[in-house]
Amino acid sequence: MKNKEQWVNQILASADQIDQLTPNPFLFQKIKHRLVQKEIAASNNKTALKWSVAFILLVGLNTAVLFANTNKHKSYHQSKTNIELNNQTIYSY
Amino acid sequence: MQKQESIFENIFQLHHKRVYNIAFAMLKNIADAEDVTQEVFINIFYAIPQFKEEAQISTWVHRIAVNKCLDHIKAKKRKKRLAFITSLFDPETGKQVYDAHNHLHPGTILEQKEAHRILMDAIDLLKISQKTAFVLCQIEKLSQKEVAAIMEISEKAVESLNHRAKEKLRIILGKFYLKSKVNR
Repeated sequence: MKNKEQWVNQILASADQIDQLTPNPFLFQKIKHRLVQKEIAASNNKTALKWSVAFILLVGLNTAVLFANTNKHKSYHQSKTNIELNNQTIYSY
Repeated sequence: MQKQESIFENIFQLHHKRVYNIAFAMLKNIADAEDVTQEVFINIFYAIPQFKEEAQISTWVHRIAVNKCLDHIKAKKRKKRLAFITSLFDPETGKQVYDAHNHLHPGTILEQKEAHRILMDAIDLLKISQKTAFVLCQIEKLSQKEVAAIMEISEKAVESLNHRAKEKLRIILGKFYLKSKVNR
């Protein structure tokens, strides 16, 4: 029993004899590299976002112009047929 | 930006050893400790502008380190739960793909290695809060006040966590002793 207690105390005491570890000497360089990579990735994301916004705007504007033109044509044709119809009615009198 | 970089470099020079040692004591693996240390300082770099001087800078850095370690442990547990049974070696090349957990602290001398390995195995079985308190107080030798600030709990709570951790360690180590006796 005493042996067990002695052994447990010895193991617990081993926590006091641990030296401080020295990290990799290139740790700071590695962190800087990762920071640069992150910045590059962030700027790439920004560029991609800008391009996608530009693309969406382009497609949107084109669609809007196309839609407006179709409506214009439609109303033009409709007014033309209305005039023709009116004329016809006038002639039929 | 340049001011931020110089502040960052100062913080790194002052605290990187302690952060690395906390990470190693919590994770028991050199590669993981280095990875977490890198993540801690990347976090610190971006958080410098938001740092409020109400807290001590060392406490702030150590708190980030402890939280990152806890996140890493949680992520590892999650991975383990989702993992499939897989070979340690690549079937084509035969090279070792997965590294075994390195329990040995490189800072220990040869005679203490075995004792330290057993202690680390026992610490690993503690509850996460007890493990954090024990590592910070007993291995990293931080004061109870500092540990309380890092863990954002009262000093009394740290004292009680430490006490319970030691009691639990005694029970675990007792079982280890009996097991080793049976195996002999």
